[in-house]
Amino acid sequence: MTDKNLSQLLKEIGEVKPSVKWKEANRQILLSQINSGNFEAAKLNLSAKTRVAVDFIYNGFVKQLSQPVLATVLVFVLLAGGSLYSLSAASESTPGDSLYTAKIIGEKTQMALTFGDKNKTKLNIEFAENRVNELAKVLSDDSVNGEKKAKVEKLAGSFKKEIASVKHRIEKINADVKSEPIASEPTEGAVVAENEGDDLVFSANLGKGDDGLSISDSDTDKDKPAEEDNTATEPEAEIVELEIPELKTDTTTADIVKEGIAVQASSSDEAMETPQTKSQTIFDEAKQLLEEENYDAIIEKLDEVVSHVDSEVAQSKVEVKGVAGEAVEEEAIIDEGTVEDVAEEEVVEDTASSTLQ
Amino acid sequence: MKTSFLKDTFLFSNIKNKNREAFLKAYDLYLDEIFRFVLFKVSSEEEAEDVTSQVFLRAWNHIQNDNDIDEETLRAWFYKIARNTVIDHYRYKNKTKNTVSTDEGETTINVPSAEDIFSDMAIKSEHELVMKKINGLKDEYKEVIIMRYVEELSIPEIAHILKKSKGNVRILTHRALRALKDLLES
Repeated sequence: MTDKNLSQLLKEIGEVKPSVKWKEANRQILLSQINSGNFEAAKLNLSAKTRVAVDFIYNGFVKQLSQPVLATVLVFVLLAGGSLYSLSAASESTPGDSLYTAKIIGEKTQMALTFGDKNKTKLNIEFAENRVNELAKVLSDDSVNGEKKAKVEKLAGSFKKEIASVKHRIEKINADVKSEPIASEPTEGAVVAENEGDDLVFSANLGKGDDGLSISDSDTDKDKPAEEDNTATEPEAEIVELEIPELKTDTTTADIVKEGIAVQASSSDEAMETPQTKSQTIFDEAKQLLEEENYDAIIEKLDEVVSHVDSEVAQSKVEVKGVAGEAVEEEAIIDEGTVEDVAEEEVVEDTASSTLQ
Repeated sequence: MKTSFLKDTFLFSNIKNKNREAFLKAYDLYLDEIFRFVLFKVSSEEEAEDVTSQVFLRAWNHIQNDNDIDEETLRAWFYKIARNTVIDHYRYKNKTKNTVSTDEGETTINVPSAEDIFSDMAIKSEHELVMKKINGLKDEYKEVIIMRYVEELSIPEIAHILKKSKGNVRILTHRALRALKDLLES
């Protein structure tokens, strides 16, 4: 007897039924027992109907669907939760840590999943911010002295890349804006400012010496004569206004020779105490400017932070090439300025940028 | 007879709320298969009829007494009650038998066996053979063969009725079927 035959036979056995006579008789007996006074008569009032409906919906649909759905949801939650947890755990890592690669991959994924130049620019700024935070961590960590130099160089390189991406994107956005007919009528001054904003990258190259800060020209203008005391070619643009208050607060005790880009500072301990906070503030302002679509001002901010980071690196006495050494606009000399003074250099940068406007 | 899941769930929801009409519909719907299930477990049609009547009455009492119901389907609930009723029936029968034998000596009542009933119902000889062999199986196997292959209950339903895991029920049905085949081939 084959399996099929057997299962067919078993099914046919299931067709056996009790006698109809007994069925009817028994139904009557059951009905009378149900209807007898022993049992409370059940009336289907509204609340009972609701209960029935709720019970039916729950058992008939929710319970049945919930099992596979729940399992699927759980799998997704675990996968997503696991990856998010790893990423969040990796967010505090620095180069050399096992989770650092995860952090970088996470950033790349985030970038790949983001659309629009503006959003990507924002991400680039955030990632640059991450690099600065990592840099600060590496610099403050004395336990890894041997690898410090390599790490700092690596981070400075990544930071530079991020900043370059931001600038590239802003250039692109600016180009798009210009190509639009409505946006093609800015004032002449604004156009000049924009053009300059695109090209100008200036930063302190502090690796060159301890007793002076030089700001060099950008790659394309490297052959310009150095040590120009006053290179202000344009009147101060409104962008400078953004820099001034900060500049003033940071250098209350500094002796600034603004027009000559010569600064003599004696103390700016506040800025030294919280270099990371300072960068943070600049990044926050840059993001704010991005929201306001003030792209030129973002360039200014980025230059500011680049010089700031450069100075941090130099301060740490680690010999690292200037983060933006090859991309500077003007060259200036600070008279008797001490390189360690963070605020001092920012003053120089800010002043330099303001004179450029 | 295969009852749709939603119909079962709808009736069950109403029965839980003491709806008599729903209970009578459930009686019409499941009487045949509960009767067959009981018939395989008892030795006569008469007994099967008595036990089956008790199953439905017990079910109604259960609802009236607001007892908890943890079964997921009405069908599984009836099967569970049927199982317990059969067990109680045997307990009662053994007790009575002992009492009778003490009082009146050897008294045997001639009742038709399950196979006799099926022969009365004009079942083919093949069916009769299979029936006999099923009755020759041990109770555990007999039960799952009936539920899984005769009444076509799902594995989760059987697992719930027997209070076993689904995996356990799968193994049990597989072994039961193999045992039945061995018996048929021998």
